[in-house]
Amino acid sequence: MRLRPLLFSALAAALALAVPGKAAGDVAFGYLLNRSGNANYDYLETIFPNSFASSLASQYMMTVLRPASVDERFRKRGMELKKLYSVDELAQASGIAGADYFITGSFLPLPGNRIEIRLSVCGRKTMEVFSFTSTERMEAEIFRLVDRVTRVLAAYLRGDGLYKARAVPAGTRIAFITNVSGEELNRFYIPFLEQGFPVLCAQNNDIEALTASGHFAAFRYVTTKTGSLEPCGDARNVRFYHGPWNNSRFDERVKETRDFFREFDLAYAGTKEKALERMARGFGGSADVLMIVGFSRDRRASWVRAVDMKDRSLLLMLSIQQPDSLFDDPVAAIAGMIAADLPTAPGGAPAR
Amino acid sequence: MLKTKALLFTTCALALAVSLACAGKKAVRYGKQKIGPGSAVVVVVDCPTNIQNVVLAKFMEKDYRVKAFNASDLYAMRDVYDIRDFKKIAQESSLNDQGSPFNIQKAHDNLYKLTIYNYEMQKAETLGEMKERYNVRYLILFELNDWERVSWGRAIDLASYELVWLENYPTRYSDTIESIIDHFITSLSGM
Repeated sequence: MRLRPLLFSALAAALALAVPGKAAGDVAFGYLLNRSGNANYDYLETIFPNSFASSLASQYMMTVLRPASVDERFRKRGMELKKLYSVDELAQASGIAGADYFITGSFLPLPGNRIEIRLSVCGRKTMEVFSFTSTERMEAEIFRLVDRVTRVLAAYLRGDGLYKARAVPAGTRIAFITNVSGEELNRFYIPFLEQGFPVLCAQNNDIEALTASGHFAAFRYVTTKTGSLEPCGDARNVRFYHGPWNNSRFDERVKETRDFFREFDLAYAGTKEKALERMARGFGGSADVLMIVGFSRDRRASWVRAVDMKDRSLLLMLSIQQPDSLFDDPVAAIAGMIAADLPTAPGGAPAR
Repeated sequence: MLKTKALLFTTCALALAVSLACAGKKAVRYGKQKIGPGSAVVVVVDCPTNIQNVVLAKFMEKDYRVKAFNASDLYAMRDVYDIRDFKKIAQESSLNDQGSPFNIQKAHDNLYKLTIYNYEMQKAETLGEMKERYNVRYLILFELNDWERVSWGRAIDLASYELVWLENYPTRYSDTIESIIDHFITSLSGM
């Protein structure tokens, strides 16, 4: 009888320990293409992915597949693991690789002993591609460089799509676009103002947020020069059928459609860059950060995308789930969590 | 004994329900600078004209320089969100061609996002114009609501485009339009 309380405590402790952390899934690596054209760097095409894989496996306990094993899987299907994949091809490649995530990319040695590394992470189930560019110093010991890039990868893979380029100090002027309005928007702004972030009037000069439609989720995808999250589609795959039925009207329609896809898909990054440039000018250059925050219908989950308005680079991608307390206002609680996170330096992946 | 337990349970459940329901109806206020009498303001309030007049009269009574401005003068979303742009993305696609719907959706989403960016940019330009041409310093927004709901206000300093005052005020049973506006004026003027 006396052992019963002990038994219950042990059971509770065992249950608590057994609750899993966020499992990241397994990761397959392709090669990293050498974009320099200098064959002296070709050896890094395999060294880099192998090093990233080893680092993820040893430091973050993730299951990884190195390029050699992935290539074997491709060969079994009579194919070859390519060095470069377009966003569209990544979906198929990650299906063949068979892991939850497929990572590939390229690198370019730069003057001043620096190197630019571009990586694309394709989720096999989500059909989404997260790409980021990192410019690092070519260290005498390559391990430090590998560690820094791996930290970004691990944060994304294990932190529910987390990406943070740098800390955002208090005093940074933020322009918000969000799908809450009215009194809710006031409750959303308060934590940022209280933490010392001036809020610009990007959205607070409306009575109603006209972005309050289900379509707002489109902003979850983000495109910048240094990082993007996008679905695996590629406009180049849209087919235009031509034949004897062609006439001038049909040709005109095809041209219009082609122009449409060029502007809003293939050249979207450039089109958006121009829009943001004009927006920055509209605010008289006073906007430091454009932050887009999307709330779920019940307000207990949200995602954040932030772009640095000075150089239009990706600053932050973050997902926040339901706050702990049932009694808190979820909008204010989530805003508080975002505001508290902004000044912190980008760390490693959350603990397992 | 059972009765007491039931009573206790009901009280707890009610208290929980009330606290959950009230989480979003709390009064909140933030003021970065005082907007005192004499300031040049534009007041936008979403209500019929006769009530708008009551609101404007209250500001004029307190010696604010109220600029004539109608909310509908602000650039409206429907002016930018041109549905004609979307007709070009109507596509026929076969079920076998899995790529196409994806591509069409992606381009459609991009167009939607650009429209929103464009809208915000146009608004910023309109506010700039409001400041330069009409010499307005503050834009003040109100939504007035009945008892059991929350009335709210926000003020934007057009010199810096910054939000300088905001308040959520849970409307009381005894409140009238005048008393709510009096409350807001006292709050934003820091008096």
